[in-house]
Amino acid sequence: MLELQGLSFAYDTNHLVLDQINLSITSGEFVALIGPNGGGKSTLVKLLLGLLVPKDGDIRLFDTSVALGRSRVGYLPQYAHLDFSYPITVGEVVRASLMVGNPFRRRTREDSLKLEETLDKFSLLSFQDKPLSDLSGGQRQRVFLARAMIHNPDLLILDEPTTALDAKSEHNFYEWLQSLCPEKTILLVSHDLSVVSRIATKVCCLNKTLITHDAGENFSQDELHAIYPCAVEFFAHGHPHRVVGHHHHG
Amino acid sequence: MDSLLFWAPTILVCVLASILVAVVGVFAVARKTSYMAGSIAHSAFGGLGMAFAIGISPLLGAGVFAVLTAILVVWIKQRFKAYEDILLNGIWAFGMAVGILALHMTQGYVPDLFAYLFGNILLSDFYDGLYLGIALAVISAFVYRFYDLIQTVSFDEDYAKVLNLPTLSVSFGVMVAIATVTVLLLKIMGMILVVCLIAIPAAAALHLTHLLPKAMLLGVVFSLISVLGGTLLAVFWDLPATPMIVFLALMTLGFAFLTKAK
Repeated sequence: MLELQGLSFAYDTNHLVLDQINLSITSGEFVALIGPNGGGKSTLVKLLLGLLVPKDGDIRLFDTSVALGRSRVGYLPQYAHLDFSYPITVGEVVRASLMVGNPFRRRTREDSLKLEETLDKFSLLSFQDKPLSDLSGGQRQRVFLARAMIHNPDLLILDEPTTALDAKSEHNFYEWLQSLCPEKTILLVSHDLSVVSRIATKVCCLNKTLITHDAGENFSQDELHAIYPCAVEFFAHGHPHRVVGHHHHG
Repeated sequence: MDSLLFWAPTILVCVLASILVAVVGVFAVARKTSYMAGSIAHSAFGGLGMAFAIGISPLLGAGVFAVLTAILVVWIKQRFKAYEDILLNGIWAFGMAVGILALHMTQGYVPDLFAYLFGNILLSDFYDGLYLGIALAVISAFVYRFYDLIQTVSFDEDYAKVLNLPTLSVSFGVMVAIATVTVLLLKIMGMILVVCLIAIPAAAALHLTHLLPKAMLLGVVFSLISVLGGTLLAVFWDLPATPMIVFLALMTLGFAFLTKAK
């Protein structure tokens, strides 16, 4: 489903952000991507989606190029950079994904039904014609999830999706996410080490280089020290649980 | 009857210009690109100067320069985001410099120059109305047909790329529309104050509502108050129209802020 081989990336020529990343994700897997700030997690996600061009290496998405394969991806970006004062309604944001690959597409009756059904699923139906700027952080997060799901993607890429959520919503969110597997394949970027090590089938630690373990396999103290250059508290099963000290950007 | 015929082109231009600036202005302000209209307007001065120098239609010269600048501006925003500010100022200065040089080399008196610099809606003729009408028809059709696409690209360009939507074409399209309106309003508002009419009524409308179609309608109302009102005041008091239009536009903005303090 997703194959990375020897992937390297640098924003400028002297400073490699990602160095020789290899990763394979098969259908139905729930993969968690963790690592320190500045370790390259969001950069890797942008490469997978073709928003950045790799310096070296190869990416195959659904056995084809990124440009073709990404139409089958549901993407939840880190949306701190977005301008929420932009005059757009909840319905318009969510409906956007139905245009995938076809800018000339006209709205159909089926689209409207699909939109209502999706908004209903995320408890957003009453907000359909409201401007996005009227919504709270948690509600907006549901809007972006609905947008990532409405076109029924096979692979979900979620970049730190729980930032705007309180503890209860976060718990519900992870339960919901788990219920999607194995029908959907999930790549979750997260800081929530304890949660991801519990629910993911594969955990990848990224800090310029990538170390991957299947669920149940233990990270060694040396491996973790290479990723988080500071003390890390262990969760059961040898997965990193909590970063105890301060670490420097990778 | 005679006086109605005399005023008809001006009234027609007032109404069409008000609708056009509201449609285009709302996108320019919402996309945070209204300052780019300033670069486009001033670079159009280069086209004006060249047109006078070689003896072609000033509107054509300004139009070509403005559209090329619009494309350049979008490219700069994509490619050199970090230097956007200084590059846009560079384009602004380059257009003015070319214009001044070309006018210096133009033989004889340049009759319309003052109108293009400071604008005069009272000098409008039926051709101005015709051009504005054609622009309104084309731009409205573009916005109506590609509304969802423009909204998606304007709100979240990266996500639109993931959906394989033509983000660059949409940005070019919107910016060329802004450039076209800027050039058509040069004779009415003048190069220096045209940005005011594109940005201020739209900004006032967007302050009051975050629903785009509603903002466009409110923008039309605010523009009509500014343009028609400013023109009437100018006629009654025998004053230049452009400053009156600007003052009324600023009053609509003040009204919007007083009505809804953020």
